[in-house]
Amino acid sequence: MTLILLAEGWMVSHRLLRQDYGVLLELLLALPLAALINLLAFILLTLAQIELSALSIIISNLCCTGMFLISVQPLIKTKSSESISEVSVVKIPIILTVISVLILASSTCYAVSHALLPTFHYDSTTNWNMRSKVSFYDSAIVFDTRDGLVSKPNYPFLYHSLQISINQFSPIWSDLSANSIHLLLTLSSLGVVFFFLSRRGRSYALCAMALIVGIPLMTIHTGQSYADITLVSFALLSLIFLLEYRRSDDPRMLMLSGLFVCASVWTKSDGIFFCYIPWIIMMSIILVRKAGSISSMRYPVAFAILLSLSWPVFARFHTLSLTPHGSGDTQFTINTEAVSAFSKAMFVTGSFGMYWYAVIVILVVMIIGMQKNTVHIDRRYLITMLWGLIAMAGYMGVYLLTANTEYLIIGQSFDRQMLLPASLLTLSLAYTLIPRRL
Amino acid sequence: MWAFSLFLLFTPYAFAGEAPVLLLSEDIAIEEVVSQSASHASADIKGKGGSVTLKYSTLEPLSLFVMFKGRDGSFNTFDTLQTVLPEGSMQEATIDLTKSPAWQPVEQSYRLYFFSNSKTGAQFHDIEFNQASLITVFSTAIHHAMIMQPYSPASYHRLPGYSILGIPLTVVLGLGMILIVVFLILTRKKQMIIPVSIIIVLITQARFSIDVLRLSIDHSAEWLLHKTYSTAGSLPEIAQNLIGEKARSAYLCHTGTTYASKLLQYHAYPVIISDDKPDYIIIYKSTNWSIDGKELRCNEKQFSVNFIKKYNDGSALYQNNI
Repeated sequence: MTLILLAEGWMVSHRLLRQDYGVLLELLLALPLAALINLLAFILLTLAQIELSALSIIISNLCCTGMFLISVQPLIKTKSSESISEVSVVKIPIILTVISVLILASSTCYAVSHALLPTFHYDSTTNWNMRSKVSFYDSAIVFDTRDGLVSKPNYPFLYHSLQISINQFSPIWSDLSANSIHLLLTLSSLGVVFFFLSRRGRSYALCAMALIVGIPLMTIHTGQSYADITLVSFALLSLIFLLEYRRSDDPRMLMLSGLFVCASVWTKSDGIFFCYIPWIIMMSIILVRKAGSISSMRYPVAFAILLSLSWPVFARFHTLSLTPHGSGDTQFTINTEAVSAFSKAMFVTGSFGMYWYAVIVILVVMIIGMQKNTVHIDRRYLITMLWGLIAMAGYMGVYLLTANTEYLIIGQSFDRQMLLPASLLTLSLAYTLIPRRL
Repeated sequence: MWAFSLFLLFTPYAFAGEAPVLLLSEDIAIEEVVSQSASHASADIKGKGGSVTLKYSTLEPLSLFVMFKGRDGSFNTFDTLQTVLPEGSMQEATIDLTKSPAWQPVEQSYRLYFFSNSKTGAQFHDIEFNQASLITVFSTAIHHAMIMQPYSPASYHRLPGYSILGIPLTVVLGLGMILIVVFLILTRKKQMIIPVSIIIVLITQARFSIDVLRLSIDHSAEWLLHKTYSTAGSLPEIAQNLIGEKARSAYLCHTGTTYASKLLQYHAYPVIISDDKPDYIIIYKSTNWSIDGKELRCNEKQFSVNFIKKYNDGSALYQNNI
């Protein structure tokens, strides 16, 4: 089944990119694109109330692959991108490269070993992998708690679809396969990010990747079984293609950015609020400010909007809540304890280590430096900083001003949700700042 | 129960030395200590020192947990020390408090929990704090920086972070970074601020990456050699056995949070974990169970069972004779 998924994903990436960016990128994109195609197959099967079986999943996947190949057709005549090798390679001291390699090597070791170990963490046994497993045995995505077995049946189901597909041809559920396919997805996604970052030099790319993957809580999540890392992976993919679009003006990059923002919407409830909305805001600003014709942007943006909005429409159709905890997520409350809990999570505990201290220092230096013209930045990419900043402000609002405060105080979900703005800001900064050397 | 008695006061010293202490981790089966103890007691003490010397008399070895009380009165499980005090009359044991990352070279409050297999309990004659030298404080700071981050089912939500002499390392380094930034501004080296910030982050992340490497090796080795996995113990293996036995339902006899039940339910599904006419009974870290021949009792429930298998973490699987 993995091979079928990889083949369909590769067909779409190859059709769209036509080797302009190399075979490696097309191969790396195979699984992330396949995850989205597979999701669409599951949506069709669920809407048509067709039982999930190996045969039905393969047929619907083939149909959706065909739909995707047709969908990218208007973009395949796009001119080839300029050379992807960038002239200004950033010099990194060898010691920093060594430290970055150590961080990435040990994180990979942790990710592989823990994805191969049995599922261990609480929310996966009550929701993430559990909903996939119950759906696998039911041959249908479950939208109720199944007598308390599934805690969040209202969540979107890209994560579950991939795990269910990979378990076909097996009479019993394989926990190992379920976690391994998401590990492969994470590695592919991070591989794409590394691919583009390495245009500024492999050492620079290693350093930027180590800063993202080395955030302590992020490293822990690479062990899989929660969808936070999947959401971060899709959001990073969407952002890297948006950054590439800003660089090359290639609408195919915008198309891919839109496709992966849709994938993040269908991965976790946060996706619609902290990926889709910031992406739409950025697009609106880019459209308004764009000099010359916007015709090349219309199709990819419209396609992304329609595809992403399929989740709220689907949720409405199935009377599913768009937020994790229903009305409590929008109930306005002020809790003074939340402020100290917020400071503790960001600046005292070990989830982020020194990360937020450094981000704040860098942002302040960058803003002051921009005014005084002492910091060199690439203004093309400045707009992409908005995504991380909006997501960060959004999560702060949710946890400081709604009933979700309790999850911040007891340290249940705030930290792992802040991984999204943390990783997005790092990637945006890696493009926006143009140091000659580090 | 809370049994303390006076006994054997005049026999000579049998033990006088440092009791080996362990920092509490998820792997230590507290339930086993609790379930096997015939009596237990607790005491709150306060003092300043790197170690504490207890003079006591006891008929049976005493399991001792030393908890460090925070400023808000709370206790952190992963700061707790565990040791065993040998039996004998007029014993003297020194407990090294510096092994805990919560230890500070100032006056601190502690709660001591004692567990004994004897119903007669123990008697304490004296408790004395021993001052820590400057060298001890310095070496303790280095030791604390080397302590591995705890790994638990809550690790996906929040990591506690490193502490040195009871002070969170993130705060110390954060303030240090701010001072460096101020220094760079004053010395007109503003262009160094961003590189220095990145270097500090990478170095601290490298420290954590050593821990994750150790976790990878420890957890993989544990699973490959013993089929147990940290807090999950043998539950994933038990679940596989339940599926292999074609069980329909199973009852988990366990003392603690719902974690074990949820974990077993996920791994065993479609076997349902239930107390309604279960096909199988699993004994896992329970403080309230017993077996007499074929009669198994857990909490208020009784079953007639056949023994199936014992696991490496001490768990056991029984078939219920319905």
